Amino acid sequence: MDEDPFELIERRMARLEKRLMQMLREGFGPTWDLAEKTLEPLHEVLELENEIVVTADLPCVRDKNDLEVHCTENSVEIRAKMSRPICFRRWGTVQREADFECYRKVIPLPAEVDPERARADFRRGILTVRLPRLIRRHRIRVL
Amino acid sequence: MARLEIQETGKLPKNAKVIVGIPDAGLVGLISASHLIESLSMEEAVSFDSDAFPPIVVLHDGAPKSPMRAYSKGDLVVVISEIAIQLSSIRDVVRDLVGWMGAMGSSLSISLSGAPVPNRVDIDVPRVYGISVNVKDDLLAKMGVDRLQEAMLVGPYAAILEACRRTGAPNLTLLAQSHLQYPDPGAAAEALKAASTVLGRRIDVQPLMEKAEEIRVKLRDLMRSTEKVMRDSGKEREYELPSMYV
Repeated sequence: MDEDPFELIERRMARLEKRLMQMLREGFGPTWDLAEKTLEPLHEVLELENEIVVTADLPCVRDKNDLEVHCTENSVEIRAKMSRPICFRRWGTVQREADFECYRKVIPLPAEVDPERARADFRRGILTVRLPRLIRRHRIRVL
Repeated sequence: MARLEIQETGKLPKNAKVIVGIPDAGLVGLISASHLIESLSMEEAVSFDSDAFPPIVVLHDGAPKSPMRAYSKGDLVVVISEIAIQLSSIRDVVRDLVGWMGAMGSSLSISLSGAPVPNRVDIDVPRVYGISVNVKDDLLAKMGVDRLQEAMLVGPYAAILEACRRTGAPNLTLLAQSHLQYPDPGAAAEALKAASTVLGRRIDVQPLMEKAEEIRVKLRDLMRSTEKVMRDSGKEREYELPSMYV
């Protein structure tokens, strides 16, 4: 499939901007939501030649059936239910107890992937999602 | 230069063995140090402060404390930091820390940390590797710990090792195979088991393993801030193949 190089650059710039905004939010914002009782899991995105590998640390999640992983060409969404609530006592300036029951995180990807061929594995509380890169061929005109 | 201001508030033993637990790979040092302090009911003895630290005070049971402290009991001293030490100040802070250990008459410092491995999830029982400077050559063998032969070490424990090598202070660095960016209580348990021989006391790691998942949840944010410091330090270089022909 041939593609206009300007459209390609524009799309990549938009993705870069989105990623920068996400990084800014992650740098300053809280990593929890009291109302939803959710925590953001620690995660890592690794760029390999043919695939993007996303891992997430999900302690207190017992079984793969307590996990939901959704994927688009640009992101992975992880939702996971803990086997028991984790309680933070006398927490922060309000000195209240806070219970968290699940994890939720939408992770933007650094390159487009093929969601149809993605596969996931869950062992020892670590989720690993392997996402093959979407390869687009571009014709280069020889002048 | 950011100096370490040291305020001794409790009794410190002569010839102490000093365990150092600073946030680094898998927070192995911090988790190990924290377990020792709690399980041995150690008493707070030293408060460390520095212009290099962000303006942070931690509250424990309502009492404000410096994020870096030392606890003591018997001949054991445990140094713990609840914040990652910024790259720009690691050398200065470590130089003063090693100087303080020397002035105290410490007989040995023991750094506990993680040796990040990409396949950690496949490893049931992490192996522990050791590095020693200015101690008897056969110490690691007596402990049953393999000597790390070829590797690159990056971060606060590398700075401690180098400061000890340079000043002649005895140091043992124990590195348990660990996650890099996820808190790793399993690796901390193995590092503690290895250290128990040289500490001359049995350390019960069962309570640590029972709380492992809760620890992983509750150390998320510290791991996140440590990860940023590790990235700045070039921690990923520990994955590099060693330059064996240099």
